[in-house]
Amino acid sequence: MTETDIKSLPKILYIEDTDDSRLLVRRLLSRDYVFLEASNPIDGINLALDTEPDLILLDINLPDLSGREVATRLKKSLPNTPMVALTADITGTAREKALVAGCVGFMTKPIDIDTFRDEIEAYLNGKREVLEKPEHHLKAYHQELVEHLEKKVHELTKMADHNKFLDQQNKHVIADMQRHQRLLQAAATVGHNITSILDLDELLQTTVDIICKEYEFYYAGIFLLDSEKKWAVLKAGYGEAGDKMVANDHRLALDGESMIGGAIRKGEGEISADVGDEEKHFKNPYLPNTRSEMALPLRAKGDKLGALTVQSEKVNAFSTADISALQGMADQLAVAIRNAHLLKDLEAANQELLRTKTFEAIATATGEAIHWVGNKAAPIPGSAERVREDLLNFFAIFKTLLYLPPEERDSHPYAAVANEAFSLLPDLDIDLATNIEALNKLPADNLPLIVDIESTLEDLGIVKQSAETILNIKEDLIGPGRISKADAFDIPLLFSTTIAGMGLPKGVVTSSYPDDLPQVWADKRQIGRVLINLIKNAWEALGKADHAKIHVSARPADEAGYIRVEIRDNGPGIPPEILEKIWVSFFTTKGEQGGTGLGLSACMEIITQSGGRIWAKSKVGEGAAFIILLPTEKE
Amino acid sequence: MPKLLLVDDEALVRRSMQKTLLRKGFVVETASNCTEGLATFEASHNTAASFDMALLDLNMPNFDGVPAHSAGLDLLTKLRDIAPELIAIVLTAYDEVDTAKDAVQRGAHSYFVKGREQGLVDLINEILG
Repeated sequence: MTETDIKSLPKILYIEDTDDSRLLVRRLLSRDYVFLEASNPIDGINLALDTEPDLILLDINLPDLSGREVATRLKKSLPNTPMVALTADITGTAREKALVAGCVGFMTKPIDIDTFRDEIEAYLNGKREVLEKPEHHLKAYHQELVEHLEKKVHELTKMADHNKFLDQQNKHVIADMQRHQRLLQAAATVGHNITSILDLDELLQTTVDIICKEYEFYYAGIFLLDSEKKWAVLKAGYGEAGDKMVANDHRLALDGESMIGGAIRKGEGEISADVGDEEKHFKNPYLPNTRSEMALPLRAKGDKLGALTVQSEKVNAFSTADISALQGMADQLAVAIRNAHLLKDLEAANQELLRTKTFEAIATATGEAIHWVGNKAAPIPGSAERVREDLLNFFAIFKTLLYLPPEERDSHPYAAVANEAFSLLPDLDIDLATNIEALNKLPADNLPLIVDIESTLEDLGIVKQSAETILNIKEDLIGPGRISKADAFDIPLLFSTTIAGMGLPKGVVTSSYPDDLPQVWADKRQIGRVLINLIKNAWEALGKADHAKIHVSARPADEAGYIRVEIRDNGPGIPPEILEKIWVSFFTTKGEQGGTGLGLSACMEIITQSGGRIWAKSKVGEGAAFIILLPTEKE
Repeated sequence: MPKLLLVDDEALVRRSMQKTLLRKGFVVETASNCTEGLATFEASHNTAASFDMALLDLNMPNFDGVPAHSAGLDLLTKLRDIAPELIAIVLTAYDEVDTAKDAVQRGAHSYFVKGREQGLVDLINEILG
């Protein structure tokens, strides 16, 4: 067959959605005709308009548009193209309806293979079926069209509604995503702050502000546990309410019923979706509008540090995303808080070390100085004493010679001694004549002022006493140097005999020791001195009053290998500015009551040389405590 | 009267101690370093005027003339070589127990922390009985 042949063949278009039907018809017709096919009505209509076939075969039961509607549509554009319905529908008026719609023929399925080609040929050659009383069927067909239209409109409306719903849902998703984005940014900001804000209080305040502003919550606050781990204390709160509560030292008991207490104890978040439902819910007067709240624990490396509270004016305000984002933030914050605490501890330890080193240096320097001064002062008391003796001897000689009759005077041994002394004076560059001349010029009334034995002896007394004070100080300072006889001994035995030996009124000093207290390794005598010194200080600080209580105790220290001794009194306490200075040599608060200010510096030296530590804790009005760590083993 | 040898390099301290002891009736000769101290001791050794006791400062110039922390012990050793029965008291400025122990091991009877001269007088009287 040539190309010209193909072009001259009649074109037949078959619109049918069932693949099997199309396959069968294609086999029957494609040999003798140009066979075109479409599997749905819209494609079919387009193909028909494009190709203008010689015959169109139409299935009736098509999706969206029926074969009849396709016929009606094509009749207008291709008025001369014959269209034949090919359908399995053999209900009563199927033929009539097809013809009314614009078909010129009506064939039923299944197809009769033997006659099919002939029938097609007949239609191509002009066969047209005619319908009697078409008006009657036309009306029914119009009715059907309207119903179909209505149905389609209905479907479209429904679809539009669904679209609206989808649109709404999209908006929600977008809003959620935007919120989530903001929360992530908020979390990132908090994360950034954690690394950039060094002041913990400022960090906490900034964090609650960010949480409230970005998450649009009513209130947020951060509680931290106090050092005793008894109270959760509010450290930062949002807005005016937060400021007021922080100022009022708002705190919640860790073992109480609060959500904060519960969250910290259990180490997991607590959520109250509707606080109105819970009878035990604490109505905070500063936060009257809270309708739902949650408490998230702040924990880092197993440490319970505190909790974050977040509150909303809406019931059920916390989404899963909020909770996980906030818990993430809380975890980050906890690490920062823990780091801040560690830093603080480190700084305190550093300062303590610096202080100890400073005191040691001061003690050493003053020790050296006083030692030198002491050595220089050593001969003074002896010299003063000898001058005193000599002076009195001169007086004895003077008196003896004065009361002797002149004739006996020159032959007295004292006269010989005196004359010999006078003769030595020029050798010593002393010219008594000058003194005699000066004395002669004085009015007689003034002479007693010059020759005043009482004053002279008093001055010698002052010289001796001052020198002895210097020697006392020297002995106080070099006393600690005696350390050497270190040995293992029992604290309770030493302390009880030492305390008994002090002779304080009964009941002033009490003591407590555990039964199995390990021995300590130190110089027993020196440690006894330290105890005496500390008890004496406390006794004096208490004004030696009847209600005075000094409690001495010892127990194994938290630091392995040490015993912790504590001497606590109920006195007036030590003001912080003085607490800094008590270890410095020569610092004394005792004023005229005596005390060289060397007691505590000596104590520190003794304890340091024993390989231990000593420090003081005190608050004004709450007494003072001296704490000593002593090693249990030889270093 | 007991005769004492006092060796100390600090002139004022030495003189003051000497005067105190003289007044208490002791015979006191002094020296200011190890070499001088040994010479003074040897001069009267095995004579009627030999020394009954030596008071030796620890920290003073040694036999080489160099200030040394235990120069007094070096001198003590030499003195004991000459007179094994010699009674000696070591004088220290600090209360250094290790040095004092060392001194006792090397034959000193006692040690005395310098300061109160009356205390030294009491100690000497106690030892001499």
